Amino acid sequence: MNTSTLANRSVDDVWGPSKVTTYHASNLAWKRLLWKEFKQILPLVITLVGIGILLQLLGLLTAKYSPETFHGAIFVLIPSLLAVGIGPMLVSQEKELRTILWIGSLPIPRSSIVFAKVIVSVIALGLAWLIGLIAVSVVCPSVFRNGDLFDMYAILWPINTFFVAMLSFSLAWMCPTAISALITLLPVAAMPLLLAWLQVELFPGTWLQDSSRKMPSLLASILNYGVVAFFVAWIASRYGRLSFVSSRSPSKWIAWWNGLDLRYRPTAHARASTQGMVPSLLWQITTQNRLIAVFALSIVVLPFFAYLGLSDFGFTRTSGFEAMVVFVGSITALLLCWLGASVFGSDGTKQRIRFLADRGVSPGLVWWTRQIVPLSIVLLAFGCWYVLYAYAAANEPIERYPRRVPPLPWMFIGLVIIAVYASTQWCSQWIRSSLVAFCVAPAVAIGAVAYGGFAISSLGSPIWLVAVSVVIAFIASRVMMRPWMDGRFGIRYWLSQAGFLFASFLVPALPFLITYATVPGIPSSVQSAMLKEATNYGKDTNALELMIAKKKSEPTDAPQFGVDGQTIKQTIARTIPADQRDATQSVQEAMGFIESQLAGHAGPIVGSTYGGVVFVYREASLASIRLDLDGSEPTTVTRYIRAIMLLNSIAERLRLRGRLLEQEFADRLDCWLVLELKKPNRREALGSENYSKLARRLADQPARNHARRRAILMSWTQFLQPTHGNDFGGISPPAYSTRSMASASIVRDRYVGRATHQLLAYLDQKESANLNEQFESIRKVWRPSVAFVSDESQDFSFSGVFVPGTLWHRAWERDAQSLVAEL
Amino acid sequence: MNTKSQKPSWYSSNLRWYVVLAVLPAMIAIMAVLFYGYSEWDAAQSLRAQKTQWSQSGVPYNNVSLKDWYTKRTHGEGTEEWQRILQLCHWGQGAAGADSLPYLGSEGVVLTSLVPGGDWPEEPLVASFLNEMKPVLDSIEKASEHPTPVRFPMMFDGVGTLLEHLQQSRSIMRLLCLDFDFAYYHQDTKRALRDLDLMLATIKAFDSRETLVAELISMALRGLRTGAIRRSLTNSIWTDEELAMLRKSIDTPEPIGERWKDVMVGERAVGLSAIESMRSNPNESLDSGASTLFPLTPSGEKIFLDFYERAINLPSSDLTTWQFAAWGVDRSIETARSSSASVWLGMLLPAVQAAVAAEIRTEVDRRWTQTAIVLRQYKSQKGEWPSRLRDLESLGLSFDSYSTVHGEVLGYEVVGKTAYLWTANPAKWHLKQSISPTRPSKVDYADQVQESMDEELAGYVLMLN
Repeated sequence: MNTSTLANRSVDDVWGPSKVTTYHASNLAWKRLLWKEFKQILPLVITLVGIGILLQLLGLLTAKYSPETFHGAIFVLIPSLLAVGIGPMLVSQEKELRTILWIGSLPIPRSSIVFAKVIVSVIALGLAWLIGLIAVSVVCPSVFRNGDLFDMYAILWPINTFFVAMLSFSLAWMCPTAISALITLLPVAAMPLLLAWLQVELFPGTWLQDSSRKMPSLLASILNYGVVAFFVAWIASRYGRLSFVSSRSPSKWIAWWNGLDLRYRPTAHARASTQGMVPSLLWQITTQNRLIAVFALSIVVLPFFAYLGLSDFGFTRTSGFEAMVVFVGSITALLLCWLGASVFGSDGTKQRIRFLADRGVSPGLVWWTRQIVPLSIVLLAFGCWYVLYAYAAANEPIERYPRRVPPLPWMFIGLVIIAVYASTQWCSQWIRSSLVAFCVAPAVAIGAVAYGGFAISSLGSPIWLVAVSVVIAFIASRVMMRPWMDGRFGIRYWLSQAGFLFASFLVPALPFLITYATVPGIPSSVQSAMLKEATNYGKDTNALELMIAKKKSEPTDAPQFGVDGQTIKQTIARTIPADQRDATQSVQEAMGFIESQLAGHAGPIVGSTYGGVVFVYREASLASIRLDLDGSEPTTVTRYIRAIMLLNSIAERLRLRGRLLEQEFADRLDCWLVLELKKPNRREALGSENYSKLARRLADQPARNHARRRAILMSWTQFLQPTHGNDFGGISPPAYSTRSMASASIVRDRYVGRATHQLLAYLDQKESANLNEQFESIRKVWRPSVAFVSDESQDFSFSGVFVPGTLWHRAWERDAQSLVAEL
Repeated sequence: MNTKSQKPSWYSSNLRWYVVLAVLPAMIAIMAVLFYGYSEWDAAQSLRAQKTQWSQSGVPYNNVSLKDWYTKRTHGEGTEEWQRILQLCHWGQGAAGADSLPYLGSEGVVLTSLVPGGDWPEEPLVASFLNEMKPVLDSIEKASEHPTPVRFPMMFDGVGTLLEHLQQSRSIMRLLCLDFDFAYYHQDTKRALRDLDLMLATIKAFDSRETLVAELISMALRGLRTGAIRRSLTNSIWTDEELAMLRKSIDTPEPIGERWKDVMVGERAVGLSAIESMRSNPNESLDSGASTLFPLTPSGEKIFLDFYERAINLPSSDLTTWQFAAWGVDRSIETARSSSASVWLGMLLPAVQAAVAAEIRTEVDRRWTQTAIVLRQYKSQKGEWPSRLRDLESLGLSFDSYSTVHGEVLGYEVVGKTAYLWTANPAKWHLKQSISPTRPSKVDYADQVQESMDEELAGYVLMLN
């Protein structure tokens, strides 16, 4: 019987000698360690994955405009941010809270502690990739077909994130605080780039480079990642173990660097507290939030080192210029996001802000003293960059700085910077953990900028309205300052934040929504009736495009080359084939070819500016003039009859087509034929039968109107098809006006619907006095700036900009009736 | 007991400089934004006032006012006839034989070395074609009686304005060129003179000057006419009387200054219409990305208008000064590119210097042709070619007429019974010394004119047999 009680047992008894007990204890420790690490990383994973899914959904708004880039970028971004945050969340946080010392004191091998964190890191990263993959596969599967991800080199993205995760993890062991680890990560993560550059300089043209892509080869990239990761991990394994014991930094500079932890500095506060409220708060936040100093330093140091790197270390200024600008810009943008996240993040951790809240410090005062220093530094940096760019542009040729120093693009860039800052400072109020806020801030900033860009480019929002949205972010953080300071994170707090978020999304969308609500269309009942009628007409059958001459066969002789490789120019004798020496004969042969095409095709024909339709019209016009000059010549009469009858057939076939363009062509031909038949000797020339046939067809107004109506409705339904181009039955649609790309199709469809309805109403008009006014109103809708000769213009041009209905209800249609009456 | 208040006063602290330092950049940024906003508002007011003034005085500034302006300056009497002529000029186009027609056919060649009565394989085809076209040529003569310029149906749509009738007007000129060459070949000078008159009538009918493109087309039409005259001077077919008529027909220089102002006013309206269109419907614009992200602000539009104001007021009596001023305007665009209008200026501003150079080239072309006519007159009257061009002053030809606008005398050389008269090398128009001191030959210009050297040289070396 075991009589020993717990009080009587020693530590060795508990942890001890039994193999079974050891096994169970270590197994239990492992499980609990893993569970602890998992719980520790979970907030970051949930927040990042949640924001990633939201951004993927936001990307759906731009689905029409090649969205692969955006979706692909978000897919890659979220695991990358998680990789950056893994070390600070799992290691630095424990070091700041001193829990690492407590865990280190437990009888668990330190390697197990480290290993558990590594396992959780890898699982979390894999999970983020997996969820991202599922999300992007659902919202935009084409990302793997069209985007950059459809490439062998895409494998570098996951490798890169695992590399960054390992760096972050190693550096977190080496650096005493989370922020110092994060900032140290930036230059260290760029080490593979440095290695790649050295490889290009030292071993050009070897397997280390992929010459077709002008970048390191896949193998070299993996090697570079591996070398850097191994080196950093080795240093971490040597010096990281100091994390398990309390230590003091030997020098005050290292101590300052180690102090990048957003903690209260009682000494600093004590010093400032004697100076008055505002200076005290300003002094306190500047001293407390050392990211302000890091950011201020970086905006001077980064461009300086970039300049040195470009000018003095072997680069020519042009070769690495763009890459360096992108690199420095990216680092600065990341630091800007972190600066924004630190505005309230430094106070939010562990509810430190309660110190001020409990002492009744005004939320307004706290808010603006937290904002003004970082904001002023951002603005000062922006102003300095602007001046530097202006200075550089003034001393360089225009080709290097094509845009010189235009204020508006710079104001636009300024707005982007302020938007990044505004969104990240606001996000540091939503997310209570400053570390999570730091990791999430870049994603939030990208989302904010992407939505702003979408609002401007797609929703037609003016820039000033987007600026209002940015101001809302500041207003929101100011208004929510009191409950945030008091720690009142109830439902009301979250609803208020959500309300502000909704407002900031809504404001830029206002132009689109107003357009959507106010642009008039046709009544739905009328639209349904029109659609029904159009459906009844069925589909247009295949139309024939009349050719003037048979297509020439390509020359079969191979070109001959001289000794210099140049083509030998052969002397081509300018000889004309015997059958082509008479222009009249050539034209008659072409007429015969057109007749044969019509005979072999029973359906409609295409109204083409350069095809057989206009060819025959010109021949008929000339034949008519010839007939006037020499009507007694039998060949002239025969030629005339042939041209007129062929033109009549063509007009008849054009009417069969369900497109407005062909009806316009047919109207021109019919109008010309009526005027032709009205001429004195035409009946004799054509013969009674031909004349009668022509006159009866031309006088058939109901058939003509039916063809026009059918064409209008079929053109309209074709126009409504999303895949259809921007033409209305072969002619330009009426000009509509909208600033919003997203609402463009809505406005266009409604406007064209009204124009179609108006056209149908005009077509259905009986003879009335105000036809000219009605046509004028149609002209103003379709072609507001057409210069017309007169209202009764008989326009016989077959190209250019058509105004539908130009020849409807005109005198020639009445004349056509009288032709039949005279038969 | 009076005790000093314990409430800290920030302004009394020795850290107040810190507050000022922290607030100052933000204040400066706010001031900059306010200043920018005010300057844009002020520019918008000024633009509104300017457009109201234009609206009242009938100056075009958008599509509709440009249409009204065009309608007011053109005549509708001859529209139908000219439209019919435009259609008939293309008669037979596409048929197998018609494709081989010089000037008109897609496979036709330009006639640069036609000798009257010489070898001309296409002559039977041309004869049959021109026989068919005779009524059309008569129609042109009839239509030329109508007042000019003639109005054509067209839609003004900013930079998308189609000038189809103007493009097609080249076909009328080509038809007339063909008829002129046919007449020259058969030494039918009356028919040739009639063709030249019809060419002039055609040029006037289409001379509506609404945009720079219209002006360039007009210059091209004038160039076709003077080119036809020069071709006919290669061999002696003209009588003294006819030469005098020819000389008179090109004696007067075009009022380039007046034309330029009209054209640039129209061009400005086209640009403003394009801006209006891109603002109201940026999705349909030329460069929707740039115009959306960097919209043309009112101050940018003012820069745009200032540029046009300078361009409109360019003309001066001295063409050299004019060209230099145009160069200055083009240079000023680079400065203006530092403004918010940069994207738009790049898209919408015409190349003023190139346009002025084209005007100058047309004028030098006229002088060259005029000198060639007077050379023929001299030969006809004196029986020999003059030893130098200055001798032509005896026939009333002034120095200005046998020199370029830069004061360079045209190139001239007599070799045996042949005289050569050459003008500036097209590749050297921009240089002050553009006329070669020695007669250009194929060897000299082999690097510039590799393909059809004879044709290219014929562009600026005239051989008078």
